[in-house]
Amino acid sequence: MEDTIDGRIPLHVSNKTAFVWSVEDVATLRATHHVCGVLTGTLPHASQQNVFLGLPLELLPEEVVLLVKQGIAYIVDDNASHATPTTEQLVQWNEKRRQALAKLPARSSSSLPPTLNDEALKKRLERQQKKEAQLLAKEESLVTPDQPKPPASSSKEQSYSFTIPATSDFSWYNAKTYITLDEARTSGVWSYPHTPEEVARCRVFEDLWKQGYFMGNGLRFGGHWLVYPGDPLRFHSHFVATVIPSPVMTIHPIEIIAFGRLGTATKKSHLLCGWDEEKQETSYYSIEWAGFG
Amino acid sequence: VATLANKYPSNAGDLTQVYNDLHLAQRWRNVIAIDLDAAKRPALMGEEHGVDVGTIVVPCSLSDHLSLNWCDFPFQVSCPSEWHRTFIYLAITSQDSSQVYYKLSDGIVKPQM
Repeated sequence: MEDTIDGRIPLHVSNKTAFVWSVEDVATLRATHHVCGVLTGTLPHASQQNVFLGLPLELLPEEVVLLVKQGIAYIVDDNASHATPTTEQLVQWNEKRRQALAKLPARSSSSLPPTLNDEALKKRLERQQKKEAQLLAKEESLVTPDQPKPPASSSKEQSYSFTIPATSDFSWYNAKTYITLDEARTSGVWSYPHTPEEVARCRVFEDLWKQGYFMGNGLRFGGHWLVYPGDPLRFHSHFVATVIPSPVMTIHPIEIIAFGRLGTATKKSHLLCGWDEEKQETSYYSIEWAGFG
Repeated sequence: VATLANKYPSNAGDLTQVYNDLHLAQRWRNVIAIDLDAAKRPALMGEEHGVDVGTIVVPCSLSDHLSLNWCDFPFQVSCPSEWHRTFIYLAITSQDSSQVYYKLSDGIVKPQM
């Protein structure tokens, strides 16, 4: 779609959310840079399920900040990169598509999916005709003379598979790219982090990432992130992390109890992650139930 | 305990409640009260039942206000080198005379299996 810049991974930003559309980039992010993200693409044939999801990969805002800051990725303004095509461009694109379709080789018998042999096909046809006859006999007692009879179904069905490309070439696409976060912020494409809390989250996330941890969304466990010692496909998380943006920010004992109970019930420790803006340091405290009392 | 309860009257109730619980119910040994001067509150030190190593316990009530800076103070208390220095217990008391104990460890510490 667009040339990569210095081997960096493009993060397509739309409405302040970053997506990765290339499966190779998703694999690189996970295996090389231990950034997992979340797959958010539904399946065309099963759009109302969320067990099996595909591209695009959606990244946490902290992941985006980290990857751009480390020079691993750059930001693409997806909305601005897609201009409205002119009539001429559309005609050219359509012509190109027709030429590509015309070049497809004619289907030979070897390329067709395996079909039933004649005898099996004949038997299947007989079974189907018998079933249809039974159905018709049943319906004739219910169907009025005005109602049309249902048509017989086709006996030969072949399946085809289509590859839906994740990217395509458009002449009206011109990537608007930003190498640094400041550039993206100036143009209004990306604004995270904006508040002291968001700054603290980014710094703590970066510190945990540098220590080799994998992070995932911690909403289900009452924290900001789940912290894994390795790939989430191989390990359970050990910690639920919550960021405290200032060393003097009030923490209520009832919160300690909530963190401790939830962590212990799920065999994790709750991690209080502090960021000191003055000293530019992170600090960590782990909470779990004492086991007595 | 009485001395520190007089010095820190707002924490006196938590201190005596937790002291009684540790000494009588949890059967800790050698439980003494210590002054966390920097945090302006009292704490307790003692040896957990069945364990030979001593630990610091900091009582606080549900209405207390803690912070990460506050969490630092108990770890700076001087105590015998063989005692636990990597974690303390936070004893949180409520008005119905119940208390819960949570382990607060310094750093990223994996949960025990």
